[in-house]
Amino acid sequence: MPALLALLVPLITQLVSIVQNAIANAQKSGELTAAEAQAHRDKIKAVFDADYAQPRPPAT
Amino acid sequence: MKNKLKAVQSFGLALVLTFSVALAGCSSGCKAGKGTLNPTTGVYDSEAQADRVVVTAEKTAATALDVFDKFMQFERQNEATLAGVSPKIHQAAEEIRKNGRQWLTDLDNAKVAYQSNRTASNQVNLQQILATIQSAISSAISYMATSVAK
Repeated sequence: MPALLALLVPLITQLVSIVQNAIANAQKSGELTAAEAQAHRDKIKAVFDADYAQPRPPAT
Repeated sequence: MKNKLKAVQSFGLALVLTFSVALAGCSSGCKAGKGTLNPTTGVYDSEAQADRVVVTAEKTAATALDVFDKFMQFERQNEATLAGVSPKIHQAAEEIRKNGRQWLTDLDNAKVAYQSNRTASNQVNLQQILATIQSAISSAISYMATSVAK
């Protein structure tokens, strides 16, 4: 039970953030400008270069 | 305590449901306003009607990146606990770590190819890649929900 509770707070925080970003994203109705498209590419690089995005075997 | 936990779980699942509905509403094509880009020339026409397929691809790509980011962080920060829930959660996170960058790059390349030359075959290619990403988003959200629903 405590383990489950420990998961709930970070999970809900992440989910709220995802929904907020999706709502903000929905406001834009035209295609992205060249600068916005480049910013998205830069963000892909930043996310997948992060430590937590590097593959590794399951923790033992 | 049990009721409180159930309420929190329900809240988390309601969020997932809300988000899934929003995503599903967009999967058949997001609403498009004005503004088109030709990546070859770099010209942005703010008065031209935007292409629904391009707008859908861009919104899906942004959502996918956000979901992948949050899922990978959540899984790494709670790896030991989640392993006790299901080893499939780690497998799903690893799948995204290994392939997520390529999926999003493929989607971006297909979008740019279609924007540069808006043919039916380029559109079909873009929509196929889009379907792969939408499936990965659904899996990631589903595994996040599974972690507390069990």
